[in-house]
Amino acid sequence: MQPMLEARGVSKMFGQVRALNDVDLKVGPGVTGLLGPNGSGKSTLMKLFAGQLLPDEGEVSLLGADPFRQPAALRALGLCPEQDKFYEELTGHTFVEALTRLHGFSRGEAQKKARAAMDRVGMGEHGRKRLSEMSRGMRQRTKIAQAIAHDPPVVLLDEPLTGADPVARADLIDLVRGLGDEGRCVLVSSHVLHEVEAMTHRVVFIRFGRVRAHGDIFRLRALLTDRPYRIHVEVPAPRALAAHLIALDHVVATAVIADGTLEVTTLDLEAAARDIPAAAGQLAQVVSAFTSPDADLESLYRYLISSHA
Amino acid sequence: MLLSFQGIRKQFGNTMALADVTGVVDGRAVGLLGPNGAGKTTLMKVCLGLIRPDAGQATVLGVDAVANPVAVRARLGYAAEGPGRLPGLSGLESVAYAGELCGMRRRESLLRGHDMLDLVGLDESRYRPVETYSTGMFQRVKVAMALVHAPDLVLLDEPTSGLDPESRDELLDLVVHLRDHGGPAVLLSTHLLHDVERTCDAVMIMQNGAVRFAGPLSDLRVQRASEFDVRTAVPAPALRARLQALDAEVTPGGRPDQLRVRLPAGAGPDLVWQAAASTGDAVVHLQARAASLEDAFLEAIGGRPALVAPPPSAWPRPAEPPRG
Amino acid sequence: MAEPPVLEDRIHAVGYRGHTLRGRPRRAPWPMARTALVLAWRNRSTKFALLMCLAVVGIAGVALVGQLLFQRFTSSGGLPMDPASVVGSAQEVFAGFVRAQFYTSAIAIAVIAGGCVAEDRAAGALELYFARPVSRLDYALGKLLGAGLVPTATLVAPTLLLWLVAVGISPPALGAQLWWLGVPALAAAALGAFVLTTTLVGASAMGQKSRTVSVAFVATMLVLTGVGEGLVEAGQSWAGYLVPERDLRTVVDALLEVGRPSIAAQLVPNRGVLPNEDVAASLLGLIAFAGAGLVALTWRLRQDVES
Repeated sequence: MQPMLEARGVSKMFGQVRALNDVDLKVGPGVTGLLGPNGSGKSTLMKLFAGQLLPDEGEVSLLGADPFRQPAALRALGLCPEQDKFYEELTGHTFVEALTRLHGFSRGEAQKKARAAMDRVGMGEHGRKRLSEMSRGMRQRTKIAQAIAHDPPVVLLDEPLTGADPVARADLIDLVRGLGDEGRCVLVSSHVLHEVEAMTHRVVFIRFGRVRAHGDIFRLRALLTDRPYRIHVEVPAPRALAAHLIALDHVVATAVIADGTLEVTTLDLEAAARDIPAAAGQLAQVVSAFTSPDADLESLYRYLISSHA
Repeated sequence: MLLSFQGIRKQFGNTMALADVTGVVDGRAVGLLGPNGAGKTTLMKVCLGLIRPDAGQATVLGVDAVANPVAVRARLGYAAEGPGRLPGLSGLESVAYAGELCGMRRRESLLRGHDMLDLVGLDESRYRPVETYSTGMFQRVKVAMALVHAPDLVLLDEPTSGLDPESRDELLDLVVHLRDHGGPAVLLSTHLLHDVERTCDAVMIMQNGAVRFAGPLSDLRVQRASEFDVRTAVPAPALRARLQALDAEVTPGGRPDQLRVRLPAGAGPDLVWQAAASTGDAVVHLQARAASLEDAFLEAIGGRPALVAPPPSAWPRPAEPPRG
Repeated sequence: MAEPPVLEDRIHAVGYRGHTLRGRPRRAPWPMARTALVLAWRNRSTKFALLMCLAVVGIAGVALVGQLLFQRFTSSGGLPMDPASVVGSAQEVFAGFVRAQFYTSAIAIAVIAGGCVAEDRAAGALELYFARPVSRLDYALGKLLGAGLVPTATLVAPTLLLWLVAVGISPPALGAQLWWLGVPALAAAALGAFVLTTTLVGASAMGQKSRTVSVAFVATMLVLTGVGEGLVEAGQSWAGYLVPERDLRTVVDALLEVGRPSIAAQLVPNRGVLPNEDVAASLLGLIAFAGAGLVALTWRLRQDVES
């Protein structure tokens, strides 16, 4: 399948400051999280895909076209930028409508699309407010509405949840997931990892201007073989279960860490997830809780960013 | 008692910032939650005596904050949201200056400033002017400035906003450290419920300028024995169907790979394991579901309105020219 | 005898530790003023402005020393010395110095301290102060002290210096008479410094940008002077009270002539510009200028800070 967004050997400098260094990336449909520390090049990558910057080296493509030299390709793109200064005097509706018209729609058409988009982001009632009167959450919703109003197949969201309150965050997470489920290519950057996990299981890590890792969170974690998983298993008789488990190939260690809780260190979470309940079953025990504190995106991020391996 | 509010009202022009704040909260680390415009920052400023309420009483650490603002401030540290800074000063000078404003001597405040910057993890860049700092570095300086005079309570207004995961992690660890190692009590305002779950032992939820809940976090999170959070290695529709066939009530969780399972009466978690064994799915997480803070929060503020269903999409068909 | 304990085994905890203030808490104004000046010193424009002030001091010093030495050596050469004329011209130098330095100090204080309140407001730093045990009075005092140190250094201190030099090198016969010139000269300089400080801090409290405040402050001074002097020339003598420097000059002259009526007027009958007629009205004018500045500062703090 042809990727919807592609970067081939892309480098970008701002004076002496390196933003991106030899980045190769292919992004397909669905939601993809873009992660990395501040200053790692996430926003630059978004701007390159949006045709706002020209790479110093390499090339980027948006649905097969060069977004910088073929601006027509940008009809297929919705961008929610990180910056937060707009035409403050406009109302939400007019703002979205005006930007939608720039994509070549007639006034009536743009009005309809703007209204539908504002409804979709939950701003239907508040669309008459001026941007200057909106809270951060409303501004973020409006920003996203303007990105999706013209129904683009590719959507770039740069920190779309910043400053939004918990209600807006939950709404916007649902919205992003919905956009991905419709088959759009949604690239979303965020600093809040558990929210990324709620949107998608596919991520791209950027660090020092290079791609550090990309793929499925669960499988990426499994690739870190030098970091075995710790699993906490709650069973009635942990020592008996431990004796059984230590015989398994993928189990490295077992430890009773509290009354009724066994910590199992394993190289293969998936195998452990099958073998441990089965072993407990043979001993007529029931696993009442099974958790792995270091299998989440937060641990993966920490391991990837802190080490060089 | 850490904070106690009685009928606080404050109006700015036409907007009622605080409608009727009444509530009592105690704890080592208190999360202050609420939608945008709920009045969190205004309430913090009332605690500091920076804003004089139109009516009502605020008692902070047992002191009447409205009547004795200067006395209260001597015992409070405040890290405001936003970029308030003294351009030209280095990070260290900023912290030492904050100490001097609180009555410390010059050398005393410099030494204490070094200590606080070590605590928040700002390295040699402490000698550089603050305007060259990144968001994360500046956030650390603000927290150090709030701690320098050893207050009894620090008010942190959205300290994690805009931080990358590493910086956020370190800042939350610092709050936990303060909570557990005899530091000042913390009042943490944030939009990230996760931050509160990780660091706080009490919460105060505000909406429309009024308190919706104030009390220990444990009061909010009641365990529900028959409900489980189940996560699989990959999204597992087969498991969902199988569990439903076994009379369990299954709803999608907050993540694509997550299910919320309410077991039928009399059944135990082995039902889930058996179902997973039969469908071949790897259940990598199973835990009795505590009511998440998110649920409790949404309940406290009266739920969230449903979003409008998306309109039929023109895509993946290529968008037609507007005139069609 | 038991061994004294040497290096007992112990691991010290790191991390947060409490702190108790050593001694009584210090008041905030002094650190505020010191920090403001430390920050100002890092600006090149500050050094430039101070250099300018130094030049004026130098010129006045040369004039004063030259005159006194000339008198001293010519008198020893046999020419008769007129004590009244010597004191009178020293007095003229002082008056002229205070007058000129008033303007250079106005520029210096505008450049150095123009942003003292304005920048705090623009950068959202007011919260930084008022979230700490700093009262509005402390803040106002700190800002006035910080700004006030500038004209103290450029106007009051050099006046003191010039006077000491004058007393030191004058012929012994004149020393006692020059001695009495010091008090009114210093009082005049201090009054000028006070008016400059209060008006500038007031202007800064009204503005948002340090540069705008500086330019507006100096421009207003110059425009007031120009218009005032112009109107006086056109016969409208009341307009003289609108010129702060003219008010100050009137008061300075009045002070310098305490106890010796109109020596200067007798000796130098054709002074270029005449002072205002009424000393009391001039003093009132100066108080009005200073008062306006303080009122502006108070109003702003009451606006921006609720308690």
